[in-house]
Amino acid sequence: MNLEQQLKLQAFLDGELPEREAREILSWTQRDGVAAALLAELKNTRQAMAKSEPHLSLPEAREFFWSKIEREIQRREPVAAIAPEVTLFTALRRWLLPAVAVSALVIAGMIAHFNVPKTAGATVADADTPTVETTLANSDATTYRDASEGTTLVWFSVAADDSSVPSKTPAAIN
Amino acid sequence: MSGQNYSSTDDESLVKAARKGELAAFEELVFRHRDPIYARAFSMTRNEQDAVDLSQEAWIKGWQRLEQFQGDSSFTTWMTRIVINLCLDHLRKQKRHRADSIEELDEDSGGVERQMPVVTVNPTAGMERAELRVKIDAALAELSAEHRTVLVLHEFEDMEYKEIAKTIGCSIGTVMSRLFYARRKMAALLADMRKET
Amino acid sequence: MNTKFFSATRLVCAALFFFLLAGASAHAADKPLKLEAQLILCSNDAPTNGRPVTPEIEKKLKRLPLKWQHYSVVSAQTFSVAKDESKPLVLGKSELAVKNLGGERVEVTLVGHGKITQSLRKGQMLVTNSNDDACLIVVRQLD
Repeated sequence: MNLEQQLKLQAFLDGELPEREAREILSWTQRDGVAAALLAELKNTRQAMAKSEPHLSLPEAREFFWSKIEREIQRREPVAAIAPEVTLFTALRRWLLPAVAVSALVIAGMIAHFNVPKTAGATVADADTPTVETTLANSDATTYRDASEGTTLVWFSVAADDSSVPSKTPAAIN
Repeated sequence: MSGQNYSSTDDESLVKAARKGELAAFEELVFRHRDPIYARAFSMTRNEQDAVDLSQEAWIKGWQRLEQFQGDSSFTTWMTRIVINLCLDHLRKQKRHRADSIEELDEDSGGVERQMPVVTVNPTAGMERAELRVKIDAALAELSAEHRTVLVLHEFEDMEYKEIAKTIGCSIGTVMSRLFYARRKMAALLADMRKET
Repeated sequence: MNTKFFSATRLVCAALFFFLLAGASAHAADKPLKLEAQLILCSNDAPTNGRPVTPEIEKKLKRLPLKWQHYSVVSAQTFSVAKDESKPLVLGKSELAVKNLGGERVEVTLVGHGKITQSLRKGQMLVTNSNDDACLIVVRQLD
């Protein structure tokens, strides 16, 4: 019995097959003891799980849980600003402040840019994301980044037909 | 927030009041449905703190999206879908594969199932429901996040293959393979537990 | 009156601060990097000998999708690399070259496998293969 047949058995159990196919599978299980045994196992598992979901309670007091939700709802809701009395000076300052701040940032950025020469090939917009080049034509690299800890994992692997290098890595593959 | 007592108000009326900005009405909804929402988050993440945080986030999103609740399903079902999506995002970010990572690679090629003999005796026959719940919970903890997710969505949320595939963002074939593996692994785990008792 | 004057002063101070910060950043970017490379042995059995990795490194490794639970240091090398210079290293059976690209960016070449280019600020860590069985190489910037 191959995997496709086994998955058909499961689909039959779950009522996911069209009627004609379902009748074929039913007939097969009546002739084939192995298929019947597997179907019985799948059915037992499904029945065990039906209505046996563990009953769990939130492990926090109602008030404490709600207080966090309430605080976050209020924090995320837009706050109506109280419009200040607008004078010409206030209007000018409101326009001028952001304009000057942006200009200062742009000037600082330009100075930093010209003082720190670009390295050839460093084109990534996010400096924390690695760029990886593999040496071998039939090899690959898997990258995983844990941004909160600042850790980057780069795992080089080689295609299975290269017997000199293990093909399976101990790392998870996406 | 008004001082109105909503404890005897039905869910539909609470939702209507909450939509008008009545936070107290929403608080009552949270109070009534906090356990199943938390339970769904825990069944998917198997981490108490993550489940608390994710269910909290689900409630906040529920408040923000109240206008989208049309009443096509129950309020609990609607909230459960929100927490499921949050859990899936969380699990995607985590992507923690430990010792079962090799099994997962084998599973797609049908390798692992060849190593698992058919469990011919019903491992849960005669078991009290409370004991069964405990055993199911312990067995779920042994599955990888991917397999547990598919099993939970199919068995506890009664989702069809197509719906699970759409929710998780994978093919129907992948859903079927993972569900098959998860069920076979559950059968083996429940059989082992029965032998130990 | 004073409010107007104070605001102008604050703006000038803010602009000066940005200029200084930009200058300091540019200067820091050119300093040599003090780095450490470790060859780490991985296993699922509790280590009986060998120096365990520091709690900080252990915490970072355990958050990665690796199947091992225990990590111990086989060997470690501390070195300094000036900007645009490359430092060759041998860790176990692996040969590496670590180049300082400036701006706290490094290029780590794992001979026979490939090249990784990324930032390595203090607190960040790069983990990659080793040619030794069940081993990793960890590179990080030291204080």
